[in-house]
Amino acid sequence: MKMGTTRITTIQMVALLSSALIAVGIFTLPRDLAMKVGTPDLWICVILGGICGYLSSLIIVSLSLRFERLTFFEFNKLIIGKWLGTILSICFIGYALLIGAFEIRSMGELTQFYLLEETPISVILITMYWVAIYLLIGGINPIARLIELLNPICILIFILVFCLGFKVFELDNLRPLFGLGAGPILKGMTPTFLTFSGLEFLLVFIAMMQKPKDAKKVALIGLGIPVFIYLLAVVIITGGLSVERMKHQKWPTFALIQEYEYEGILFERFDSLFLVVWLIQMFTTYVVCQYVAAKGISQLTRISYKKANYVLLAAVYIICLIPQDLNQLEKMGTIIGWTSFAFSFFIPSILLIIAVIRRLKHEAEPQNGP
Amino acid sequence: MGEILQFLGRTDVWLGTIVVVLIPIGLTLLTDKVKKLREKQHTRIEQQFIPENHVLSAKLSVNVNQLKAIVGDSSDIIFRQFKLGMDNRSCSIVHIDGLVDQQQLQQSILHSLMHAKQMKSGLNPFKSESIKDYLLHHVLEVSDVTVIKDMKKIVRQLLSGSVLLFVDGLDEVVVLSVKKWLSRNLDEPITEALVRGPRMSFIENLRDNTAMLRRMTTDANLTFADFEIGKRTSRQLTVAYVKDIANEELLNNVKERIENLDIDHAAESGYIEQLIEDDYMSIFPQVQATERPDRVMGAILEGRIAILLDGTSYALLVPATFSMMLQSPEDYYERWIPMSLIRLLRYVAAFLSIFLPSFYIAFVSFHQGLIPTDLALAIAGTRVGVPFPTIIEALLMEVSIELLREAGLRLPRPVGQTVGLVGALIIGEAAVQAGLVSPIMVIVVAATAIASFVSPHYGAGIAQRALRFLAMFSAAFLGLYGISLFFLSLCVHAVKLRSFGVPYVTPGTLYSKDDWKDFFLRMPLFTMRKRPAEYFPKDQVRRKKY
Amino acid sequence: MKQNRKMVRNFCLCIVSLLCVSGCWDSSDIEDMSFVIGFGIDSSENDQTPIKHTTQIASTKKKGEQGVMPQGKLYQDLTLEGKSIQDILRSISLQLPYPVYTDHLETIIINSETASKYDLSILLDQILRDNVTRLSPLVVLSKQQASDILDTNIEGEIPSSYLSSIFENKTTTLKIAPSVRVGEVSANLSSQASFMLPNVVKQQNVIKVDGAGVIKGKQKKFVGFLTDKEVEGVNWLSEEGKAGLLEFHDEEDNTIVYEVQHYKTKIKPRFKKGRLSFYVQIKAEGWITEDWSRSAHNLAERYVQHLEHLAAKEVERLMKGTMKKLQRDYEADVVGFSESFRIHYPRDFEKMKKDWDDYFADADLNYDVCIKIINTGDVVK
Repeated sequence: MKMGTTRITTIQMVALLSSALIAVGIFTLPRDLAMKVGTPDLWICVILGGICGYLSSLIIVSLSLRFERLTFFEFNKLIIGKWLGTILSICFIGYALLIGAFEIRSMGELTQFYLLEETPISVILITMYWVAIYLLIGGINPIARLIELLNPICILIFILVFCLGFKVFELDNLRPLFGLGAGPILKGMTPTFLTFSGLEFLLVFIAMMQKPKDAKKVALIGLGIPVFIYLLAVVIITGGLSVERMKHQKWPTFALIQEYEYEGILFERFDSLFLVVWLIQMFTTYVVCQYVAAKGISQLTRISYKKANYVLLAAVYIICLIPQDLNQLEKMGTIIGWTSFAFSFFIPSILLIIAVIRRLKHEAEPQNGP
Repeated sequence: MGEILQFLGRTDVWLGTIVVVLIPIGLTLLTDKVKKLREKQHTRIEQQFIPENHVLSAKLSVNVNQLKAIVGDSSDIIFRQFKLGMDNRSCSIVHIDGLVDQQQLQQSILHSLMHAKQMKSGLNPFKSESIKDYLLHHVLEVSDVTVIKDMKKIVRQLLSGSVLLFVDGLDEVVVLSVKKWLSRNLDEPITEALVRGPRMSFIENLRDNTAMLRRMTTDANLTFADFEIGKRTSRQLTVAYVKDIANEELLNNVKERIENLDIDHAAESGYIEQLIEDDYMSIFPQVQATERPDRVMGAILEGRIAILLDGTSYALLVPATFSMMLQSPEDYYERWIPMSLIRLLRYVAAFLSIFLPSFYIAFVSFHQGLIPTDLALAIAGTRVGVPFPTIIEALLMEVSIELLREAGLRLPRPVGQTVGLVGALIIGEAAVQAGLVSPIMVIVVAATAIASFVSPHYGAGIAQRALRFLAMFSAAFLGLYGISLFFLSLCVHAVKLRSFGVPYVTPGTLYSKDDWKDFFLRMPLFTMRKRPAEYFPKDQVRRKKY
Repeated sequence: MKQNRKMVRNFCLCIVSLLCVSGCWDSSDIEDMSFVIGFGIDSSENDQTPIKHTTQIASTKKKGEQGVMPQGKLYQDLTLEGKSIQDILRSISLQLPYPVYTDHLETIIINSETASKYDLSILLDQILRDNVTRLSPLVVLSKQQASDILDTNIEGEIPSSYLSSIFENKTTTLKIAPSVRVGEVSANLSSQASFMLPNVVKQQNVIKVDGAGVIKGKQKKFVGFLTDKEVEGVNWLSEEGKAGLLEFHDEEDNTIVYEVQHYKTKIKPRFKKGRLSFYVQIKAEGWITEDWSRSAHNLAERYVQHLEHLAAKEVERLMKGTMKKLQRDYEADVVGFSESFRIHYPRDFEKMKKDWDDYFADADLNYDVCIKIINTGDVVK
C-alpha cells in the first residue's frame, strides 16, 4: 500500500486555480468597473466575465486532456512544430513572469502606502521574494499544500470582511437594474475578463493532476470561488458606497472598510486584517506564476528546475521595478490583461482546432510520473 | 527606449538583484551542506568488545577462566562452584549480584541442582548430550531456559542479568533467566496529567511497558518487534504496532531507519527521536513523545507506530503531525461539545503564544493608527517614561519569564513553585514601579506565558517559545508586514516538512472528510467510523455500524 | 577555493549587518507622537495668511499616573495661521516635541463663514489626499470660531471625541442631523450633490448640536442654516433618522409626545413633460409616551385615531416647512430625492444630474403621512 501520491489532488487543484485568480483585482476591479460601466449594473459584468472565463477554460481543459500528462510546453511542439512551439512557450514564460512581477509590485505599493511608509519598496519586495523562493525550490507539492492550507482561511476572511459591510449596505445604490440598458455592461466586460487572467495556467497544471478527468469540475469550482468573491466585493462595495463614490476613490475596497468600522473590537480597523490576508493571496498568486515559468524553462532547456528558479527570481525582480509609478503599473496591468486574453482564449482555441483537424492525441504510458 | 536604458543603468536595481538572488542561493547551499552532514558515513572500525578467539570447551575450569578473562574481576559478578546432585560432577553458576531474583535462584536452581536425584529415565549421565537433556527436562525449575554456545552471546546474557550454568563435560552453557531488579512503581504521568483518564504512566522497564500495552488488548495482531540499539550498551528497543492496521510502507520505513541508526549509547528515547526524524533542522517536533500507555494504544490502533526504549518512560509515536501537538487523550474521554471548544481554545492559545507579543510590538511601534483611539492613548500613557523601544522592552520581559520558568524547573519542587510565582510577581511589579516596562507589556507577556502553558505537548511548547522570539524580531523589523511574512515562512516550512512520509500539516492539506472530524473540532465518536486516512491504514473501518 | 568561501562569508556578514543597522525604517514609539483628535478651520483677518487652523492634540502624558483620575485639560490646542493646511501642520513641528499623527482624527470643525468663503473641497483637500488620515472623521459646521468650540472645557473629555459621540444619539432624537464623515463629504463634493452638515454651538461649557448647515453642490460652499425643527423635517423626508420623538398639540394646545419606534419614507418621483413632482409617503409606528390632555380616554379607538391624525398633520407641517426653505431659499436637495429619481428615471437623470438642484427647487410635492400608534403606555386614564 502506498502512502499518498506525488500528484496534485483535485481539491488542491481547485485551491490552486482559485488563488491564482484572486489577486490584485480585489482592489482594482471595483473602480475599473465603476469607471467603465457607470451604472449600478456592474455586478452583472462579473457574472458574465465568469461565464466567459468558464467557456475558455473548457477549451483549455479539452485541449490538455487530448495530451495526457503533457504540459503546454511539451504538447504545443506536437501541434505546431518545434520552432513555433518553442516561441510560444517562451512567450508564455514571459507572460507568467510579467503577471508574477505585476502582482508582487502591486502588493509592495499597497503595503508601502498603507503599512510601511518609510521603508524602501525594495526591502518589502526582496523579503517577499525570499519567502517565495524558499517555497518554490520545494517543487509543486509543497506549493499545492501551502495553497490548500491557506486558501480556505483567506477566502473565509474575505467573505467575513465583506459581509461586515452589510452594515452600510443600501439596496438603493444597486438600483435600478438595466437603467441605461445593456450598453454600459458590455463596456465593463474588458476589465472583468482581464481580472480573471490566470486561467491559462491550467494548461500546465492539468498534466500534474492525480485525476485529470476531474479537470472540468476543477475549472468550474476553481473559477466559481473567485467569481463569488469578486461578485460579493463588487455588490457590497456598490451597495455601501454607491457608484459615484466608487469612481472617485483610489481604493474603493478600503473606503468600504473604513466606512463601516466597528468600534470596540481590538481590530477596530478591519483594513489591516484584510490587507494581511490579501498579502497572502498575492504571495500564492506570484508563486504559482513563477512555478509555471520555472517549469517551462526546465522543460525547454537542460537547466534544472531549481536553477531556473534562481534565474527567474532575478528576472522577476528586475521586471517588477520597471514601472516607475502607479500609472505605469496600471498600464502594465492592461498589457497583461490583453496578453491573458490571447493565452486563455485565442491560442488554446487555435491549438485545439489544429489538433482536432490533424487528429493529434497523446496517450500517457502508465507509471510515467511528472 | 532611453528610459529603459536609464533604468538598466541604475545601480540600486542591480544591487537589489544580486541581493535577492545570492542570499537564497547561499542559504540553500548552506542548508544542503548542513543536511548532508548527517548523511555522511564515517567509516568506523568494527568495534570488538569481546575478543574473538574464545571457544567453549568441555572442561569446566577452562570455560570459567575464559569468562573471568573477559568480564574481569568485577566485584558484582559471583562465581559459585558446586557438585551436581549425586553425580559429583562439577558445575558452576555465574550471575551478577543485584540483577537476579535471589530467592528463585536458591529455590529453583541451586536447590534443585544440588539435590538432583539420579534419573530413572535411563539416560547416560556421562554423555554430554544426555546430561543437557536431563538438566533441562528434569532438574531446572525455570521456564525461560536457553542453551547457548557462542561466547559473545553468553557474555551479553550474563551482563543483562541471566544466570549462567556451566557443567563439566558440556561445551555449551545453560542460560537461565531469573531477572529481577529494582523498578519504580506505576505513577501518574507528570508531564501529561489529565483530569479524567487512567492514572498510569510508562516506567523505565521495557518489559513492564510492553506488558501494560498487552494488558489493554487481547488482539493477536498487536506485535512487538525487538531491536538492539547502541553499539556498546546494546539497549533493547521495541517497535509496537498492530499488524493488520499499520501500513506496510510506514512500518518498513520505521524499521529501516532504526536499523540504520548508529549510536554508541541511547540514554533516552530522545536520542532515537533525533536520529530517525526527517529534518533535524526543523523547529517542530516530528515525533511525538508520550508517557501515557493509553495514548500509545490509541495511536497504534489508528495505524501509527510506537517505539519503546528500555530505560526510559517516554515512548515515541510516529508519524506525528502538527494537529497532534494540540490534541490530548482527554479530548476523547469527555463529551464532544466541551472538548471541541477546548480544542479550539488550544489552537487559539498556540497562535497567541507565538504571535501576541509580536502583534503588540507591531501595533505599538508601527501601526498606531490601527488600535482604537482610546486604547492608543492608554498605551501611550503607560509607556511615558519607559526608556526602551518596545522591542527591547518585550525582549526584557520575555527573557526574564523564560529565566523564571527554567529556574522553577531546576529547583526542588517546593522552592521551584515559590520562585515561579514570587519571581513573576516581584519582577513584574518592580519593573513597572521602576519604570522599566509598561504595565500593558506585563499583561501581554503574562498572557503569552499562560497561553504557552496550554500546549498539551511539551515539545511543541518549546517550539512555540522559540518561534515567539523570531516573530518578535520580524515584527520589530517590518511591523505587521513582517509578521505576515513570518507567518508565511512558518507555513512554508511546515508545508515542506514530512514526518515519515506524512505531510506535517495534514489534515490541513490533503483534505479528507474523515480526518477533519478530528481536527479543529472533535466530532462525536460515532461519526468517526473510519480510522484516520492520513496514515493509510490497512484496515480502514473502525466500526461497522454507522 | 578557500579564499572564495571566505569572501562569501564576508559578503553575507556585510548584508546581515546592513539589514540590522538600517532596519526598522517605520518604527516609532507610540508615546513619541502627538495624536491629533480634532481639526478646526477658520479664516483669519490677515490676508497674507488666510487660513487659521486649530489642531487638537490629546495629551497622553497626563494619563500616565495609575489610579489617579487625570486632572486638568486632556488636550492641547494649537492655533496657527498660514497659507495652506499642510504648511500649518508642518509648522506645528516647530513647537511640539513629537511629530503629529492624524490617523486618530475624529472631528473636523469648519467655521461657517470660512465655508461660505472657500470651496469646501479645497479646505478638505489635504485630509483627503493624506494616506494616514482615514475617511472616518466627522465634519461639522459652526457659526462660532472653530477654535473656540475646540476649547470647550468639559471635565474628563476631549471636545472632539465628545462631539463625535453625541451623534450616537440618533436613536433617541430626530432633531439631530445625521453625522457626516469625510468620505461622504468628498463623494458628495465630487459628484456635485448638495448635502447637509451638522451645526454645533458652544454654550458656556457645553457643546451642543443645533440644526445643520446646507452645502450647495455646485458652488461647494455653505449657503445657510436649518434649525433643529427643520432638521427634523429633513430626517422625516430622507429616512436618515432611526427613531425619536414627535411633539404635537391637540386643539386645546395640550402637548402630546409621540415616540417614533421606526418609520419608513417612500419617495415616488413623477416626471412628465418637464414637470417634476414627488409623492412622499411616510409610515410610522410608535408609542404615546406623554399626554398632557386630561379629558380624553386614551384607550378609546376614536381618541387614538384622532391622535394619529394630529400627529400626521404635524409631520406634514414639519416637512412642508423644511421643503419651503430648501426649495425657495437654498435651492439645494439635501433630502436625497435625487436618489429615488435616479432609480426611477435613470436616463433622464443622466441629463439632469448637473442642474439637479434647479429641477428640485421647482418640483411639486404631495404628502401622505400615516402614523400608527401601537401602544398608549401603561397607564389607563
